[in-house]
Amino acid sequence: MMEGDGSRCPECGAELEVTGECPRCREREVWTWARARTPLVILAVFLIAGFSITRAAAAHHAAEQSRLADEWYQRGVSALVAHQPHDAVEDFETALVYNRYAPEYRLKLCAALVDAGRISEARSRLLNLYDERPGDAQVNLQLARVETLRGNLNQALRFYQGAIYGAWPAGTDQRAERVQVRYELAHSLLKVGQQQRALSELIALSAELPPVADEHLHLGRELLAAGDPGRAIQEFQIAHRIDRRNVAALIGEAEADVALLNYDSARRHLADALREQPQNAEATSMLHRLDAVLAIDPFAPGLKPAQRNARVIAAYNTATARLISCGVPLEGPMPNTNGPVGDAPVEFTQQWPGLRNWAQQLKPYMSERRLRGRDDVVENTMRFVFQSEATVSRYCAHTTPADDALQMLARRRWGTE
Amino acid sequence: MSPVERNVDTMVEGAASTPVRRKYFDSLRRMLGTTGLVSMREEQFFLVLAIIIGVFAGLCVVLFRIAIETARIYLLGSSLRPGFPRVVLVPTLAGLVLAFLVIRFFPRVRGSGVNQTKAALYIYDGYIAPDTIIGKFLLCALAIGSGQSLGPEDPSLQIGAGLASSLGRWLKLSRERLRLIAPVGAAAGLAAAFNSPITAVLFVIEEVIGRWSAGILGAVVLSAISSVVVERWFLGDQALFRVPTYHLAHVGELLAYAALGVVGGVASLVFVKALHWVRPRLRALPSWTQYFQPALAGLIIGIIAIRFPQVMGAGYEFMDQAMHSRYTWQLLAGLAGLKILATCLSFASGTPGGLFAPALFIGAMLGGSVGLATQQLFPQLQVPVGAYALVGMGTLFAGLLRVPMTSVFMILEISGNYSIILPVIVSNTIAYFISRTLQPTPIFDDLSRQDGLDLPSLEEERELAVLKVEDAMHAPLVRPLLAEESLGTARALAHSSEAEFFLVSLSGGAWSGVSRDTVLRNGFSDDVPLGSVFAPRLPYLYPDQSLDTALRAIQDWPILPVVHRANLRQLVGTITLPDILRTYRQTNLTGE
Repeated sequence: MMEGDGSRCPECGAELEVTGECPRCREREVWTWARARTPLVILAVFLIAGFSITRAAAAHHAAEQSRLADEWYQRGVSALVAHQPHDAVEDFETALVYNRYAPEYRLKLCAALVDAGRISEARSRLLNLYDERPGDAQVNLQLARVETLRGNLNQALRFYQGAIYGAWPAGTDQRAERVQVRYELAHSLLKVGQQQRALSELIALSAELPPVADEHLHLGRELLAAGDPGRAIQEFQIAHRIDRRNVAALIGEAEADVALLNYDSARRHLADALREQPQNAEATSMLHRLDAVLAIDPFAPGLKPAQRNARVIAAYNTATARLISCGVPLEGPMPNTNGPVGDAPVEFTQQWPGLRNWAQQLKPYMSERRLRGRDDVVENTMRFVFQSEATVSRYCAHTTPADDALQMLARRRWGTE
Repeated sequence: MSPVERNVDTMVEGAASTPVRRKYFDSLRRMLGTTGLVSMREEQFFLVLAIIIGVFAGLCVVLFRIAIETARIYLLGSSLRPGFPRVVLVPTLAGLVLAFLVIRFFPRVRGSGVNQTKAALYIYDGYIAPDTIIGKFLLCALAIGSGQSLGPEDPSLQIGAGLASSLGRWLKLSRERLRLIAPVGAAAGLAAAFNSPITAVLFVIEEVIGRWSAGILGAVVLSAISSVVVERWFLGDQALFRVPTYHLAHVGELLAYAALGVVGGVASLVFVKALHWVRPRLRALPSWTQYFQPALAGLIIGIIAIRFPQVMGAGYEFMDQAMHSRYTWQLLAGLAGLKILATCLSFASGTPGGLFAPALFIGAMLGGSVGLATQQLFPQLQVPVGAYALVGMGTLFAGLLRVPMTSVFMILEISGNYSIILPVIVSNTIAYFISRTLQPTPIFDDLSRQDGLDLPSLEEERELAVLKVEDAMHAPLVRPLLAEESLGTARALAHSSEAEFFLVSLSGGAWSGVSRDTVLRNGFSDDVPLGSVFAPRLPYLYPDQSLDTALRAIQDWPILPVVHRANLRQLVGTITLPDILRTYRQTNLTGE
């Protein structure tokens, strides 16, 4: 405590009180309304002016930033369309400098990054977006694609589900987008051999589709490609019911019937299709193929033995001709088949000796007289034919319509056996 | 009637003309007069002023950021990769203009602004010249906008401090408040620049003020918050970075963060040493060269930027890219090295601008580099590169600027993710330790000493051993007298002892003291209890209190009691003025 015996204040020089306090400083330290009024009013005026100036400047700045962002974004979109993803990435990055959080810019950047093969960068940015917008369907879809590319199927599935059940931007056809995502998901699953899960997704779609023939046709084709001709037929039938004159639906039904080995039903549908549209090339060609299959089938009911044997010999000749055309030496010296021979891979050449022996064993029987009464040889010959066609078709592109017909027949017969 | 009440009277007199209204205004007058709504002491007014300062600083920083951005677009174009020859010509020519303006018109705007604010606080009674604010605003906008490798945060800090200083002087605040007002403005400026109020408050407390004081803390917090509110109003409330999700994939990852700490510590060291070496040498060159140094720095930066435009300006957009695995780890490491070079040149040449953004840039690049390298070495860890870049920023902040607490909270505030705290602490602590061990003087202290200013080193002050009462006290020479004892007992003790002063323990833990003469020669009879004779008047101390407290308390007393905190009547020692002085002297001699 300072003594107050007449000493002076070090701040202002006024005489101190007995308590050691300076009256003038104490008075100065008290801010009354009267004292504060003028400065506060002036400050308020400055504040208003400051806010007005800053607001004008910020508005102008924001407009300029927005213009630049849009300009660079458009450049990026053009580059993306022109398949220049690296340029597009730079353009979108620049656009983001001027509009840092625009989700559509960020999504486009991610798409460009994926196109440019910069998957980890795209993933990092997408995860960032996902944190901010976990329910955004577009973000989920992009992430699903990225995870698919990374081979991370479980994560991809999670994000695909997020895309299906997420929110799409206003103005888009949400149902159509969801349907597309399901198709994409099914394709991704099929690519990695998850056929059953892919089928589940496609089946789930069936309930979501509107009564539009084309939509059901599309789903039918997807189901057929995914290996479920039974459900595919149902979708083609729905399409046909919606549009009774829909030729594509009839052809689809025929294709599914073929897959189910119901050749007669398939022929009926194709005939219906050709009645509706006699010039339809696809239906005509398919009908010819079917006829060809039925014409070479040695097991067709009602055939006389001589006719059957003739079909067996023809099938044998077709199969051996294909073997020869694909490089299998049925006569003469056998090359070393423990390695590739020419273009033929080792997996193929290793089967050559077996096929040759089999063909040579059957060759003496290939006459109508020798086959007569030898059902066991007929059976064995057709096994050889189907086996060699199946083997060769895996390694050799060369094929004829007769080979195709034999393969269809193989499917039919092996499928029914 | 007090002056306050008189004021209220004046204010409401005209309005209170009818009896009912007069009654109403009488009650209002009483209420205002007693609650202090109309009048307030300066410390209360200071809080109001802090908000106003925050608002003004926020407005200024918004305009400052717009000015930098506009300058960049006009000078370098809107592309992230300015084309040649613009990329070389602009920083070079702008360097010439900057040098001319700095030397001729704004000589005080050199440097980052942190030391200038500290100088205002410790040397110039809170004074920062208004022309410094204008110069800092314009020249930093030109420097950063033209691609000099500097940042806007520290200049924002000084602009805020300068505004506050001008406002305080205009309002004729007391000297004590004027001195404190600069840091209040500094916090506001930095908070708006970073869009992070906690970081700003901590930095100002840790680096500028150096102590936690309730009187200043409230004002600093208020100003920081109000400036951030204003900044967000105009520029949006988005965080500085789009920070990727973080989670510690494996405990072993902490080793990688420790490695980042080592790398960050070494990089900080290289940066400080380089600046320490380059700056005085450039300043020692003939004075005419000062006109060309910023241009030369700009030329070199421009040449680097032909291939690596990332080194230009503050570089926030590239930090964002580094967080998302945009570059290879080799390129990131290279960019960190180039940024150190570019920033050293820009800063040492006298170009005004800040070091915060370059520190963050270097940290982000090094962090990303370590993250990517870890990713390649241990692909099973699923390392999030963005998290490494983020931690790297804090690491450089800790190592270079030597503000460990600020560096930790800055990362938490930027990321909004508290699970990152463990890596941040590990990495920052290591970087701080390396930097502190191998470069005892922090960068800002080093720079101020190069400028001939002996500003207090707050880090050194923090590290000073605080002397305590227990270091100076000794065991009592004579037992204390108790209030229940009689005066006769006291006299017997005085006769049997050679002590000149006796401590008296009174009821309720109070203490009094009495000299030997008073005990022996007073007129009371022997059976009078001591408690009825002696009133409590002697201050007492605790062993853990600082020696400064003891020095202030001892005044003219020959001896003071040191008591137990749990039992105020238990004497654990005594202390005298010679004890205190001897302890100080010994400490100075041993240098502890």
